[in-house]
Amino acid sequence: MKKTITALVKSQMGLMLVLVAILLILFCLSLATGSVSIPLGDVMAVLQGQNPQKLSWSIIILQFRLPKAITAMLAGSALAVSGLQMQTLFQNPLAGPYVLGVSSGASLGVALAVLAADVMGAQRIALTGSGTTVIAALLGAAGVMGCVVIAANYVKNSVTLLVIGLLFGYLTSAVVNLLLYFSVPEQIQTYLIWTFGSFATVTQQQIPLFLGLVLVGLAIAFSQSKSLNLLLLGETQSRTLGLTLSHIRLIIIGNVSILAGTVTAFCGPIAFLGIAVPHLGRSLLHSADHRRLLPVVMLLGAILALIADLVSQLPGGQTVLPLNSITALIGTPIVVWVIVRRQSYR
Amino acid sequence: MADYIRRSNIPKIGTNASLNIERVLDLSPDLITTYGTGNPKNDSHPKLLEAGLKVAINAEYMESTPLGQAEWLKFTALFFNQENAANQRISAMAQRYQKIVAIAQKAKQKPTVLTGFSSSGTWYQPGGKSYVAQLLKDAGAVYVGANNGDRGSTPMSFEAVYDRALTAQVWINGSQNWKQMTDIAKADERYQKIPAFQTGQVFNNNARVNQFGGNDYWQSGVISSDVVLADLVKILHPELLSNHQLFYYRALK
Repeated sequence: MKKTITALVKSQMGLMLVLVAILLILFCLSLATGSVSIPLGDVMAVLQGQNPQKLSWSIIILQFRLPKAITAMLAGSALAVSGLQMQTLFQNPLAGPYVLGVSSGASLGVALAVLAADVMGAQRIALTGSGTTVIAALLGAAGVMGCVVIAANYVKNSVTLLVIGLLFGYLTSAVVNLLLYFSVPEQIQTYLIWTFGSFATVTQQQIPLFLGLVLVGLAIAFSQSKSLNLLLLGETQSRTLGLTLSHIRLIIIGNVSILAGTVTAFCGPIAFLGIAVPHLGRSLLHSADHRRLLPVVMLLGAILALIADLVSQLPGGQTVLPLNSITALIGTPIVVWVIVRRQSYR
Repeated sequence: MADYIRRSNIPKIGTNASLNIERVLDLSPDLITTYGTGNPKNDSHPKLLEAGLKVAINAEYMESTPLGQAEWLKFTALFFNQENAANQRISAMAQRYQKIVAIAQKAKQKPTVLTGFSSSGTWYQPGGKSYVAQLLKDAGAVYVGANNGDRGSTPMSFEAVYDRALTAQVWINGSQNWKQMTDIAKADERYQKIPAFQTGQVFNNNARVNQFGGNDYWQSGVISSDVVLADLVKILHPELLSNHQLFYYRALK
């Protein structure tokens, strides 16, 4: 029995099936559990379009839990896939979706929107809509990534680009700190809570936009899996095989900006998933072939994000924990385990 | 007050842990009042004490009743030999407060009240032993979070609060940025499902916010608990205080 399971997991199809099954179970679990306990029968009734015993239950399931579960899955996939692309592009196991400053850019955007009006003493812009935060974060991420893309045109070496990305990150966090320094406590709190990350902020109305952006990003990622495989051979080698390095680099950076930028804009900077999941995928699949790795990493990202969200909601309890603490709590042991287990792998 | 601060050129010395100690030493104040969180990253008083400065810590925000908070005025007054004035002011205020409590107890019905708002998916709700819970009790209301034993506030999921919000007739203390009903709907469409939103019974304590974002509710409101309570009674039982005009609160339209 154990042998058949291991054999099943080892084959690509088998692994995918197991992961899809786990994902489905977790998805149902996140619809069925939460702070408000709703009997399973009523959960089923709501999902089939019937009325539950209490009308509020259908709102809780359809407007709170469903968007949250969908958001978690999309965000997890998007971050995991962008992490994988970054690790391959930079040939660095510690690279992640945020390594080039996407999240710092988004943070700068949000900080500017939330805090800057105070600093300038101007009438505060009506920062009431979560829509404002999303737009500010998207603009911030796009701005910083634009700078990185321009830099990428001049810098031939990927490691140098990595350093430039990190420096951009420091620069933006310096500006954010300055803004924080001069702001009133209420606005600082608004900003800080945003940095904790949450899948619960995306509402039903926002789901189509979020879904659309993430799907475009994932489609681009899949279309580039062959080039990513060539990159594994090293920059010189892949160039001799006919890959235009500067071209593919721009595509990957642009793609990561879309994926990670969208997630950060809607959910805040979600830590760790992007770095940890690609490692987990490679060690489960025993392969670095992106055509096989991408779907696995996508599923694993969605699974881990759902688990993190379930844990942070403390089913049965009334309180919620900051999502980023949970992703790091789950992510750290995985990364440590992988790094210790395999000293180096490409 | 804001004008006064601007006109009198009061030097800026920074906030919390990012204090400009040299500047403070240069000013050599006789007294520094601050607050402590117990977190060395945010607290500046250990450094100030080390520099030989005289620090007094205010902890009024930890009090679980509004009158308890107001009494901290007496503590501050001691440093200025103004304890008589402070005692008189606070006991007169406490008497007015108790009178309003007595009026509120005459109410025939006790409306259920929801407080707070969801910040990035988390709804920070004052605990059942917080000063907000005490104020609502004194104002003749049933507070939705009354059975929670916390003194501070509890981070809760939106769905848990939504479930409780269904019983609430009145919703108070939303985001400081909400000035009208459309601001709430814009912030998160799910707020529209809250019954108090649908009936328009939403009141916010941001009627007195200055151009720098400072809210008088958190300033003079601390030592004017009677006015805060009167506002709440006016909101919950308008017939009992017909002469009172809302001061810190406003009805969202």
